Amino acid sequence: MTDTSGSFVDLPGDLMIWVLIVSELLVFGAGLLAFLAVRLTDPAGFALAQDQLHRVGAGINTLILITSGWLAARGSAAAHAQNAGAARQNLLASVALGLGFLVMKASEFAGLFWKGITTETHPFFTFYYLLTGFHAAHVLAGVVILGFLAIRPTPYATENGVAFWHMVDLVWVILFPVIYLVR
Amino acid sequence: MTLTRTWGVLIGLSLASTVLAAVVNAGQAGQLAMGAILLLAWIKAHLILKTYLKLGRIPSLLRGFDTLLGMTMIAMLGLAVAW
Repeated sequence: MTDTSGSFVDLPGDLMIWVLIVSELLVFGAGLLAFLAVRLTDPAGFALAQDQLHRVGAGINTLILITSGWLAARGSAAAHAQNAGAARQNLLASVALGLGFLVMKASEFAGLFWKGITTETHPFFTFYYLLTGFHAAHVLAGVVILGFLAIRPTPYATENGVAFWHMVDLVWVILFPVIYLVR
Repeated sequence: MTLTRTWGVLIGLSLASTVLAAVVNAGQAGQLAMGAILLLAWIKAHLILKTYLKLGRIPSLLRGFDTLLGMTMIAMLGLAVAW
């Protein structure tokens, strides 16, 4: 008999969701490394461009996304405990916070566009719009997935959908400091 | 670690990195702050993987993710302080 404890058999959710998580981490990791490499060509320009961002707003968005991840995890736990009502409540609360994140992000983009700052303004903003915009698209996809899960929160589907949401969370906790905080 | 305790630690670490970036700006202290901010990001990623994504039940895989992310963070720090 083969001992499978602590192996891929124990992976929470479907193997494909883990393939997706690893792929997304690699894509965003490469994007952030490229961002930092290009930053070497114009550190002063990157610092000036970064000053145009709203750090406090992005910090609040971090708290929103982390709290949303916590609620999604509670939703998944409730679904496994066959408590559909609690799962639904937590998933819907998570969706609401995800929408809050998107509203804040849209407001940040709108504020920059209003100032005439586009992807062409400076390489910093090319990476900024590309990376945070791509991440926001994942948040939108996650909101839709969690919304559907809330209708019928089965344990297996909820675990996979919530894993996608945690991946979105995971990418943000790395993206946020590199884009907004590192000077 | 429970889900709620993990959430509390993640909130605390996020606030700490934001405050650190706000109070430390340039020079050697700035470089140390960058290292600290990336270290905090790595800890947050570890907690999400371990507790929320439940990799705590597969320690070898968690170590793999931790190592991959740690190497990426070191590369990022190298690029961040290179100028």
